[in-house]
Amino acid sequence: MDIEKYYDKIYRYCYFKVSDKHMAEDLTQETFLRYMSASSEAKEPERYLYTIARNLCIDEYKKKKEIGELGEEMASGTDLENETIDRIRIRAAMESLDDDEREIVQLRLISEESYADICKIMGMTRFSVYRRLENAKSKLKKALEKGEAYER
Amino acid sequence: MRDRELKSMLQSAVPALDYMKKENFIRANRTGNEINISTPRLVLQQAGFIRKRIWIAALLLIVLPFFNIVHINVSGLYNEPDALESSLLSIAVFIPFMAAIGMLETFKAHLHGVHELEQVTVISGRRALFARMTAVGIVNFIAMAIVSICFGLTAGISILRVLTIILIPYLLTMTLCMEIERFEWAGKTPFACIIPAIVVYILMMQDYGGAAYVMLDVNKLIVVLMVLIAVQIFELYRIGRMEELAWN
Repeated sequence: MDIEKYYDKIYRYCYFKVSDKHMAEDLTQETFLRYMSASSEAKEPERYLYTIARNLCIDEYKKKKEIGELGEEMASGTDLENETIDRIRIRAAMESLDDDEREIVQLRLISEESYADICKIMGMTRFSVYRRLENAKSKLKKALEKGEAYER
Repeated sequence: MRDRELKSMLQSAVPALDYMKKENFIRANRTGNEINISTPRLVLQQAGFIRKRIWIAALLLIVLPFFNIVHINVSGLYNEPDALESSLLSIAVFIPFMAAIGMLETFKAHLHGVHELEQVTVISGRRALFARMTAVGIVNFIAMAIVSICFGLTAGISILRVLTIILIPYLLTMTLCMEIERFEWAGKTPFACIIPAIVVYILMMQDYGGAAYVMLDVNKLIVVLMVLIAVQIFELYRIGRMEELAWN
């Protein structure tokens, strides 16, 4: 298993889920530890890795929700305090997408996975992935351009 | 907004990860079936990263003496030792620039602000750096050895003498390059390696009038060469202990 090959991709994927650099790094490492603790090497490592990462991010979200930390981080987290306006705008734009579209954008545009791998990870046809990505891109562009207009 | 702009905007929204943390994790969790590269294979692999400029410089070094030898033969200067020595010096003045290009190639990862050399996570950064230095050194040395043999055999000068005359400016330039590379500003500009080459070139050209350098006795040349080799070994030892490579 080539950790180097997937490390950055999983990190970027986790970051967009949790919006916290340190948390994303921890989740990335936890993803690999869980993958490696499995008895045998998976035939489709990328699918397995992204599934573990997604589940870990969901767990983290639930944990934060339980202890009521969710949302507070926007105001007090050190990472977010330093965050540029662009990042906030991008996150807001990502919110305008549905779950599948967001997932595909993260995999294709941020983690730069191939269409073939995204099809495996998402369990969709190539055409379906392509169509959703195109929709997502136009929604994102609209949202970001709107954001720019507001700033002006 | 174009797709490319959207993609770069999204990617720039992710802060750079902690590379130290990443490297430590990868090293700590490396499984037994990772690639274990032997030193000769590593050197060969690093030779693949060497850019064309090094091969061209080595080729030029081999081609130049042939023109010189032809010129000596055609102009009938064969029996004039001064002409031969001057001709040899005209090849030697090219050497500092060849050494500088070699050093530039070695430190290119540093120059381009790359935090890690190629394959640094599979092998150590220090090992990669030394393997690349060895690869560049071998390419240069082969060219210099060919020149020495050709010049020695055809122009009637001892091969050892030609080799020392060529190696002295080479080692001097490399030592100065390694010394200058330690400055922070030097890691940001390719001209840093050219400065020592120009300095050595000027020194040699100043020598040209009296021809003192090429006229030196072989034994004296060997002593100078030995001193330079000792300094070079010390420089390599210092590079091996560089803070930047300490973690790796």
